[in-house]
Amino acid sequence: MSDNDDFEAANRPLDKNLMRYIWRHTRAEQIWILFVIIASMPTYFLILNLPVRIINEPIQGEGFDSATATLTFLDLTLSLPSFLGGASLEVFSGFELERWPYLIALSSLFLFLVCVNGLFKFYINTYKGRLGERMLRRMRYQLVDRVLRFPINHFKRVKGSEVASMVKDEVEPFGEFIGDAFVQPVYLGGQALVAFAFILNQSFWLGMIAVAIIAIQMTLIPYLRKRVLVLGRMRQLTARLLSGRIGEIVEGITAVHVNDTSNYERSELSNRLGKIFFIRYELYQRKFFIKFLNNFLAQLTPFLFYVVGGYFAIRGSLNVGQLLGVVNAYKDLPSPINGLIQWDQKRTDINIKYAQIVEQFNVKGMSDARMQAPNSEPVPPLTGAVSVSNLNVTDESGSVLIEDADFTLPIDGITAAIGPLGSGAGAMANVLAGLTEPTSGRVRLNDTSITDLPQSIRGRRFAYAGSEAYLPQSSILDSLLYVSKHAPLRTRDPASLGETVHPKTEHEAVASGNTLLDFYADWVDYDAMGISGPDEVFPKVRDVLELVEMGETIYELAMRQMLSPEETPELCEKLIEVRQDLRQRIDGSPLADLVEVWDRGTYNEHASIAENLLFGTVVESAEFKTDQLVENEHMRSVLAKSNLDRDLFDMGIELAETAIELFADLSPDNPFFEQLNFMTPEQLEDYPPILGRAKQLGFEGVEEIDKRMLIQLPFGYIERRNRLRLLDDDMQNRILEARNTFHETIPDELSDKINVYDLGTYNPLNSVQDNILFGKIAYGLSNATEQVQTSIRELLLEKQLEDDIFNIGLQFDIGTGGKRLSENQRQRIILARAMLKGADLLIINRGINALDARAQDRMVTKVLNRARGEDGHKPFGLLWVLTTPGLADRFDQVMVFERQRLLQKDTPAVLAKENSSYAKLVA
Amino acid sequence: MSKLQDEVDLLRSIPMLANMPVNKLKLLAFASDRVSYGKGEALFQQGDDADAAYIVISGTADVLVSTDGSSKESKVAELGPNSFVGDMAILCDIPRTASVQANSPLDTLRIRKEHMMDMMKDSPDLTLSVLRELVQRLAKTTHDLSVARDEVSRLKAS
Repeated sequence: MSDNDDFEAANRPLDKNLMRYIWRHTRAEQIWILFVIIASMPTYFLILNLPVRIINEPIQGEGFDSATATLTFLDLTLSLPSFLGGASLEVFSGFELERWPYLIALSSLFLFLVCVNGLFKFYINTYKGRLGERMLRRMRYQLVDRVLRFPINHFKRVKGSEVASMVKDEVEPFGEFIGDAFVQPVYLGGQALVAFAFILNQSFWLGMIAVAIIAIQMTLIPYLRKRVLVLGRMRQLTARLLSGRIGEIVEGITAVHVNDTSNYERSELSNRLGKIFFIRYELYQRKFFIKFLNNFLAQLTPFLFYVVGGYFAIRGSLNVGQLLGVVNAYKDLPSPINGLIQWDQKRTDINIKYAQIVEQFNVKGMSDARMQAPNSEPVPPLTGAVSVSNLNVTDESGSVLIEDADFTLPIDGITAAIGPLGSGAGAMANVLAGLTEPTSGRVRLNDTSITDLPQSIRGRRFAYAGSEAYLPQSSILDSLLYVSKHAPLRTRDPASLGETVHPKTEHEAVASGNTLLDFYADWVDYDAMGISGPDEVFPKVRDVLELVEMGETIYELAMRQMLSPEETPELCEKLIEVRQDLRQRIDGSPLADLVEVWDRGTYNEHASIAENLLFGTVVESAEFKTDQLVENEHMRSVLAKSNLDRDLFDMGIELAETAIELFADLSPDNPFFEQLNFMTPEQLEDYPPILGRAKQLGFEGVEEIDKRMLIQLPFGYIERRNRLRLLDDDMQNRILEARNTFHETIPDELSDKINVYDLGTYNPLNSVQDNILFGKIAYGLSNATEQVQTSIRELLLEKQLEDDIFNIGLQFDIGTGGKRLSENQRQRIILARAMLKGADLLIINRGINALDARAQDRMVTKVLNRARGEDGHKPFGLLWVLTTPGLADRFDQVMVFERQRLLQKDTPAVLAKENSSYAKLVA
Repeated sequence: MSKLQDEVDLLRSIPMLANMPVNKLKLLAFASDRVSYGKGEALFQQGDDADAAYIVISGTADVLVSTDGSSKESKVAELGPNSFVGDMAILCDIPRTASVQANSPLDTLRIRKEHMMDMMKDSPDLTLSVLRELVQRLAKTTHDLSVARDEVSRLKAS
């Protein structure tokens, strides 16, 4: 069976030798390309030959003795060399042509051959390129395939960014080389041999000189290159370490900041870059020295030809014609020889790189590819029990994680495991989940060793939630469904993808030995979740999220999301309705004071002056930034027209004075600075000199740059928040006029950079909440935000938009490593998806330990109820390694661990009666 | 700066803050929030984490305490304009010892904990005044306690 062969191939270690690897996978293509190159040769030689004929025959008139003389064009005669009898066969007798048409015919033939030759080259290069790219794809795929099968504990030694750099960057040069790997030496070698044979034919001794020089080249250069190769390897290793190190800096950036170690990192980096520099520099020196030597030797040969050949010619033992012939033939020798040397250099270089990579990916204890064989068949639910006998686990440093454990765990049992960290409870859970290999002992699921089970059984029928809260970047919904994606189960209509699939996708995947599983199919195992298809997934997801108390968070995330009316036109329209309803509800109610809505004719005292002037949301761009509004030309001209610039300038002076008076003697990290909304602590130092100049020179006299700095200040001023009474009614009216002028005279290039507040349109630059609110929450009223949010929520419920909003929240992008969520939220998501999957046994290994004790308590109760089949939910088995042992009495069975040993396993009632470690832990 | 001036005067009327330099009071006024409450709205509840202290500008508020952690609260004091409330909890990082509820429309100045702490770090005068205030309160409480004890023993005896 071919599948089996594939698994066998995947299990074999990677070839240690790159040439063998290439040959194994591209034999047929390499031979074909060689054949094509040979087929292209005649054209190439004809092209070299034709110009001579064109000049000699039609132009110089050779063979055209009279005006009416003709020559035969395109006669084709195949003849045997004279030593085989010289017989000839006329295939085509050709046309008789006069001189002028003959010139045209020969020139056209030349043009035709140039085209053919060009096409040959085009074909050969594309073919080689494709060959290289396919091999590159195959290699990358194989490398990552192996990463997926590395033993789990190997990852303690591997840095993610180093693996990434190997797979991405280090294999890159292979692509170029692969197309030339076999063709180049054959082709160049052939050329060299022809030229060499010609020289030997002319003069044996001169030929020998050429041989001697080449022999020197061939021995000296590889010798010199030894060090170059060592350096090449060092360069590769140091570069890889560099990317690993940079990855570490990024991951550990918080430690850098809180400990002021950035300069240590800089120095470390500099040290590393220095080492890389010296390696690379030496590499250059040696490489170019070799090049120099090579060129020198190539030039030495003609020198010897002239001296030695000239000597023979003078002596008369060699005629001048022969000497010239040899020198001419030698012209063709260096370039193929150099090419060969270069090829060999590249080969050894790449071979070393390859060996370096292969070493990292031929890991001991990699799991058999069959264990991860894709399986589209449903895996039947597990029953029975896991029986563990004599289980011992030792980690690679030799410390014991668990010792002599014997127990039986029914798949549908509800068991707690308690014990301090490192007591063996966690190690036991990891063994059952397949994250740790038992060092000795047996772990059997109904008489099959658990290590022999394919991942499709454990990975689907078991669910696992550990304390490690890493989530790759995706939406919340995708993070939840990730654990249910085992095999492509339902093909999707290509039209619904939004991405066009290349027609040759499958063909190329086969050619590169990649998997054919359809990425675009729907992979989610709905059956296991207990639902019939994607339409029913939403209530399920919502249910588990509410269970882990994430519902509120999702709702809040949704309210902060930006929506595009183009993508969700219906929802946006409904949200506009909600906005209008909210306004009706607010008008005349106690809520009226809580929100000041946007109104073109009213100054909004809860918004900044800038917001009041703009009356819209700005698409941030170089020429239009909200925090540098004064730099906008249109804004400046509007302000100047109404003399507002002068008033803002005065306000700027006042604000700067106040800020300096109040804040000048505070350190920049003082908490008071949070209240200074119109200036940053850094700016505070810039203003005193500006203030001095402004006061001295006045609005008219001061320089433009100072003027702008001062005008910018009041833009951030919010009347109700800062309470400095800078804006009286007259001022507000003038700002309103400026608002109108700004929008009435707005130039075209600016008008599409601002979304003007409009009661009837959805603003994609604002959050959902701001769109519904359409105004500012008032400053200085108790609980204003909470009250407003409650009434929005009520409205959404009334309008039955809650589900839509929840859906928006599910699309929230959780950021790299899920870092836009807190650790506690990530742990909740991990627990939620473990519940969602519909597994038979849920293993929780100190999951949700980032939650506070009360929340953990609630979570344990809820999960236990589900496991026991509350409200018609499907019951499941549970093994929970508890962080709070006090909760163990709610479970049916409790395993007590201490010092890497399983002490007891019984019902909590029995355990409580004995005066045991259980009592101590639970108390 | 006219309006800030009102608030500065208000701050100065609080005995604890009376000796502070003007620019510090201004800063405190600038950094605090004016917060209004409707009748019946709570400034904070007993047992909450404390994040701010309040100065009553206008209106009155009730101080409510529940002794046994039950929902039944009894009124122990009434606060009028210029009273400083919630200061103990933010100074000592303890949960609120009482609830405070507006019993008429109430206007307050809300001073955040970190701002108050920062002021105290900068100004030994302020710290001393706070200390003095606390000691006075302690003296009053001790006095009240001894009076109450006498009362109790008298009642027991009779």
